[in-house]
This record gives sequence, structure tokens and C-alpha cells, in this order.
Amino acid sequence: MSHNPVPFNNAKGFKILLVEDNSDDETLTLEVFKTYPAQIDISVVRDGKEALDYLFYQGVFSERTPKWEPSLIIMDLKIPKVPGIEVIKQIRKNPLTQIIPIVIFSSSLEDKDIYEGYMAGANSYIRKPVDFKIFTQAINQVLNYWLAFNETHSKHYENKF
Amino acid sequence: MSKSVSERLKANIPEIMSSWQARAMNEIEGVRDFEVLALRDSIPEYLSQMADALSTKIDRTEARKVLDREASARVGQRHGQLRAETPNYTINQLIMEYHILRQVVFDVLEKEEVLNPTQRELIICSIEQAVNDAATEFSDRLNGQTKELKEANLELDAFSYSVSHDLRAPLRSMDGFSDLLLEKYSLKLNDEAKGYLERIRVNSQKMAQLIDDLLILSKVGRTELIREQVDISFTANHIIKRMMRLGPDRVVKFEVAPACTAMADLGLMRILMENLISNAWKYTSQKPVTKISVGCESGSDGKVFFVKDNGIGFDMAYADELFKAFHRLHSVKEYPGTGIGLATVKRIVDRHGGKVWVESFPDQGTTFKFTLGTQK
Repeated sequence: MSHNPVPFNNAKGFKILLVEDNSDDETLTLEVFKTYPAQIDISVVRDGKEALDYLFYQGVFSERTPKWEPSLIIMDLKIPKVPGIEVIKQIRKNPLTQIIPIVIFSSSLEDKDIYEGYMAGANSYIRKPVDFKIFTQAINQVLNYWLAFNETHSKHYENKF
Repeated sequence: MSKSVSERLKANIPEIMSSWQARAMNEIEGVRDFEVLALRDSIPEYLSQMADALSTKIDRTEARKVLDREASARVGQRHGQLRAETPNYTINQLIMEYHILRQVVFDVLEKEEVLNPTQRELIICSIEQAVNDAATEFSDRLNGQTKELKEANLELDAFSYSVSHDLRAPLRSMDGFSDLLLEKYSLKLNDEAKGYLERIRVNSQKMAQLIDDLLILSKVGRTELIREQVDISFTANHIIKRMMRLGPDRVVKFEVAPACTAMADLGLMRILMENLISNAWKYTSQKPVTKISVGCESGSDGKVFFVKDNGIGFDMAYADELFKAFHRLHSVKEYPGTGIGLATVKRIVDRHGGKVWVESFPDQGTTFKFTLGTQK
């Protein structure tokens, strides 16, 4: 698999939170991450409650160290306990996480899911392709776009307000 | 002394029945079969109740009137109930049936002797009451059916949702892990093993396509139809340009007549044109030059839209089979596809109240034509 050269200038490496309850999809996604030409730290949580606990240092994650916020959240919508849409709303409400890019990775092509996803505050909606070659392409492009090309401001700037 | 009105009514029930039947068949539009008429089974019972009400011999106490009223309401409700179960039956038809019944009762009775105002009043009131009861029951039943249909649709929505989500996930695993085997263990696998894995991949993807096509077909049936001005020419241009980008090495002559517009559902029209044009695209793939034209012409049933190609065509003997789901005229090997596209086209046209048909000849190309109902 070859990749286009991508301008990596983030020396700290990338941190991704993957919210996925299907263990096969998790394995497949991680396989694609492995081939990505940059260091990526990945945390995987398997339901909506775990996702929120992880992000907000609650429950089993109250002692989570080092404290870091992911540079990208990739999540399925249909996840146990707290539904995906609700998770997105909570993420957007909290100053700690409100600007983290969220990419929905879902099987569904229902207008309802797509609309609700954007309304809740997702940045992108991708339907998981069945063809693994295309699945691989999709993830690579998501990573290129959100981690390499997309710019975010520094925390210091935000703290001035 | 002459017979009482009540006795005359009872005696004339057979004549009223046959005269009413003849007139109803003759005067109510769409009534061809005597079976369809709501009052057939219950007129005798109803008229004998009316005769009782007209009778001066029966002591008309308040209690008796209440009983009569209830009995007559039951007859009316039964009409309504029976008719609601008859397909395509309308409330107008039901009202007409009673209207004719009233005229027939008057005609038959007054042939022998003119009715006095009280008697006329009683008959009119009785029939009006019966119409009301029947109509109320009829519309209640219909509302109930509509509600049930809505619930069934919601269930179908939930079903389709889980189909799209849950059936695709295992396919993704099958395709994904087969591909990982091929990529990561390429050196350990011989060509036969690789071939088998490829087959798993091809079939997972085929089934995913099948699920997607079925989802669209079910979506077409359950989404609300909203008519607006749709520029079919624009839609066609858009679709064909995308196809030409996907197959840049093909020689294509594409013609779209300008300004073919329709009052139709935009989303459904896109799906319809997508299906017809991709069909034309597919069945012209073996031709040195692909010719596809889209246009419209006026017909006796309003505007007729068409998608014409110079592809392989088919024997018109199979034309009726073409619009059935999963039915294919060519092998999947020759021309890939799920056999759902034209069923989807038919359902979209049906939902618009239009017609779709096809003109073709082996090796002479195919033309699909359709109307969209309520076109001016």
C-alpha cells in the first residue's frame, strides 16, 4: 500500500480515540492505522459511556494519565449504553472537548442518522465501506485530512477568552 | 281499506331490492359487479326495520324507539364495516347507494298510494340516519387501517435500519479479513488459496450491493412523495457525466433534450434516472460507440419521458418479466447487477401514478419510456 506524501509537522504524534463496539471493525481499523506512515496513539473504547468516561476522566478512567485530549475521535453511532448522537452532544457541550474533530464511521446510510450526526456536532460522516480496499482508503484520507492538513489553534489562545 | 304503509313496504321488499340493484349498477360509476354494493346483504333486514318503524300497529313507546334506533344503527355500521374492507370503495359510492335506495322506496310505495308527510319524513330520517352510521363506521375503519399501515411502515423502517447496519457488518469482516490474508500472508498462500479468498471478497461485495439495492427499493416505497418542479434533463446530464468520468476510455455519444421538466419527487426522480441511465450504460458496454439519449415527448397520457440506448437489447417476449425484482435477462457474468434496479424504477413510477414500458429488439437497442401521472 502506498501513500501520498503528507506534511507531518506535529512532533508529538497523533492521538486518536476510536469508539467501536464491533471487535472485527476494531481489528480492521487498527490494521489500517498500523500501515499509516506516522506515529499514532490509539485508545479504543467500546460503548458510549466508556467514551464519555474516557474523555471526561470519569469512572474507570478517573485516574487516566497522562492527561491528553485526542486530536481526532472516530466513532460508530450505534454503540451500547449511551447512543452515539448523545455522546457527540456531550462532547460538544464540554469546553475540554468541544473543538475535537469527530468523524462518524457508521454502517447506516439513513438520512436520519446523517442529519442527526451533523446536528449533534459531528464534523464528518463516513459510511463504512464493505470493500476493505475502499475502507482502507477512507481511513487514510480521514487521517490525512484531520491530522495532517487540518489546522487547530493552540490551547493557550483559547485560554485567553 | 287499503293496506298500511308498513305492510306495503314489507310486501315490496323484493321489488325494491331488484329495482335498487338495477339502478345502482347503472348509475354509480365504477360499479360493475353486484358484489361491490354495500347494501345488498342487509337491505331486506333494514327495510323490515323501517317497516316496523312505520307501523302504527306496533306500540311506539320511547323504549321501542331506542331499540329500533339501535337496530338500525347496527345495520348502518355493518355496511360501513363491510365496505371499508372492499378495495377501492369510496364514501361517495356508499352515499349514492343510500340515495338511490331512498328514491326507489318512494317510487315503489307511491306507485300504489301517495305517502303522507309524516311517513315521508320517517323514511327520509331513517335513511339519513343509516347513511350517517354507515359513513361514520366506514371512515373510522379506514382511519384504523391507515394507522395500522403507518405502524407497519414504522416497523419496516426499523427493520431496514437494522438490515443496513447489521447485515453489512459481517460482510465487512469477511471482505476485510480475506483481504488481510491476501496482503499479509501473500507469501504463504498458493494461487489456489488466493483465488478462493478473492471469491469470498467478490461475493461479500456482491451481497453488500444487493443489500444496498434492496434498501433503496424499500426506501422508495416508504418515503413521502413530495412533488416539485424537477428538471429531468439536468438530472440526466449530471448522472451521465459522472458515468463518463468512471469509464473515460469509452466512446460515448450522449444527447439530452433540454427542458424536460416534471412535477415529481426530486429524490425519487434521481434514483429513477440513475437506474435507467446506468442500465443503458451497462448494456451498451460491448458497443464500439455508446449512444444514449434522454428526452420527452407529448403523449395521450401526458408527457412521456424516455431513455434510449443502442445496446444489446432483448426479445420483447420477456418484457413483462423485466420489472420484477431479481429477474434478469442476461447472466451476471456478462452484465453484472442485482436485478433490483428496474423493479425500483417501476415502483417509483407507480408511486407517481404513471406507467413505465419498454421497447426493444435484440441488438437494436432499448428504449425505456415512462409517464409520471398528473402531468399537464
